[in-house]
Amino acid sequence: MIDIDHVAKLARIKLDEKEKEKFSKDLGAILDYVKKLDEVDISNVEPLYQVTGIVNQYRSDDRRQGYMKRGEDNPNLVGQAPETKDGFVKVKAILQKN
Amino acid sequence: MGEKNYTITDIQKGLKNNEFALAEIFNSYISKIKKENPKLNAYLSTFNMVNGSLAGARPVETKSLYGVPCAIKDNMLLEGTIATAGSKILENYISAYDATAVRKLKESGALFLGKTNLDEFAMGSSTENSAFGPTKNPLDTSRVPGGSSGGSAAAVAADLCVFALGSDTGGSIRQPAAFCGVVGLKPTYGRVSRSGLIAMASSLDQIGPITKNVYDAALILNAVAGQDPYDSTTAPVQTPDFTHGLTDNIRGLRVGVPKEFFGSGLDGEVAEKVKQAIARLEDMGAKIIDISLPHAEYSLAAYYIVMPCEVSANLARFDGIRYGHSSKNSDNLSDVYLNSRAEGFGAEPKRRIMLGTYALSSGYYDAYYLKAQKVRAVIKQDFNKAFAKVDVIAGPTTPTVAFKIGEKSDNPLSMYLSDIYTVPVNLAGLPAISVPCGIGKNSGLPVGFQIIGRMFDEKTVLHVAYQLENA
Repeated sequence: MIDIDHVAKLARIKLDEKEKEKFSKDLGAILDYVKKLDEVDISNVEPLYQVTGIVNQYRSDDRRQGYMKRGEDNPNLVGQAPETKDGFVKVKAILQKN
Repeated sequence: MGEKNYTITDIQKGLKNNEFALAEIFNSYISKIKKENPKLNAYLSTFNMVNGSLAGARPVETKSLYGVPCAIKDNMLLEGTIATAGSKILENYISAYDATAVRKLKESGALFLGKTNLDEFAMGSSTENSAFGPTKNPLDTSRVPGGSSGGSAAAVAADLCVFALGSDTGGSIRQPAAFCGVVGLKPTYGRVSRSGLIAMASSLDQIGPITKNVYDAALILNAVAGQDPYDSTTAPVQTPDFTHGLTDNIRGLRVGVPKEFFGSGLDGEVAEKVKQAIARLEDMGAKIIDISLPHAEYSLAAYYIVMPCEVSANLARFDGIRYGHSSKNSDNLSDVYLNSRAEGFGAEPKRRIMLGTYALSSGYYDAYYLKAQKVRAVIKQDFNKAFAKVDVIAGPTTPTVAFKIGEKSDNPLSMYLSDIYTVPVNLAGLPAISVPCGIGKNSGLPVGFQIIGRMFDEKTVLHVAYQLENA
């Protein structure tokens, strides 16, 4: 049985009671389906995390035009934030005053 | 301008011979979209010639896609325009830069008509999961166009663009192409840059073309392929001319037909058309070889662990702080996260984030994620063994033709099963195309034929597809 409150907390999603019930049922059905994987003999198999086999693609450590900061970068990027101040992203208080 | 269904070659000829001007062809598509889109909901936004479309690039006639009007799935960035990914959480998000594939189309002279509808964050097989309403199949508006690139496939099928870009994580280019009777190519993982594609499952996602014929798909792959410093998973391989050699005959080419793709879930009318297409390839001199992919039946189970795990990590960035929807009813940081995500995400992203979070949570890693990645390795080995004996693998793209709107929307598992033949290809990273192979005799709707190739062998995939299309 999935502890749906715990998973929702880890996922940082507030769920209402109806969603909790629905997702418990859906996730249960999907996890039942994936039990199929137990039928496969994987005793001597290395996991395949990626398919190309590429590891650590390096570039030369020099200035590249495409990576130069442009004047409009700050408004284009920081400007997307719901709250900004002086070109910075404004965040709600993390520590609460008593 | 008439009611012709334009291909890229038609546009190039028409512009060269002064049959129409650049602005004329562009604007004729825009007026057609204005007229047809309310019925189909294929586009979420459209542009005019000046805003967005030509910004930054001045096409010259020597460019390969000069003046060709196209559509972009709304999970790719086009600088200065909104990219929603089909989600309320990004409803007002303005792209800060161009996706590499979009920039390459710009550089090739293509013109952008607009952004197309999709299942939210590309999660779905019907485009019903879009926060902005479902797209209808232009061939029968009571049916889905497939998904998640349903808007792109519907726009191409209804001639509301000349070609479109889609993205494919478990079948999201090939399945809608099959349902709408058009061509859809998923390139090899690592062939096309994912920079500027809003990530769903990073080890599976790949951008590719949806087109009216195989030749156009080859032209678009020429334009968008290549290693990219902005995406370290793009492979250091040459980009050949994919249009080259398409007209050569296929005598002696070995086509593998996996018996697992013709099992009990396959509809009779689909099986009939696919078998006829295989017979046509044999008539053209191809050698048909029976093969087995014994672990293909475990693909969907492995996929529904690997993909949600990657989803849960990728969608963690939507926190209501830096961009996207931010809840107004929150006093502290923790509530900003909890409420913004609760209000911004629809049911399917929530379901997949929850599933992935659970599978990656403490104590479950070995039982789910590690096991799924091991099964993925076994599935890849099946393909490797098969490709020692054959040059391509062929079969149906989907088990059925386009289904009715609402038919599968209450049962996630039954929806997931429509990707049963496409998902193994993503797990293995291989290139594959869906090309129309006839009309189902009961439904009167198109059937898609899937051709799967070796890693980075899109050339052979396109070659076989071209020969079948022109048989």
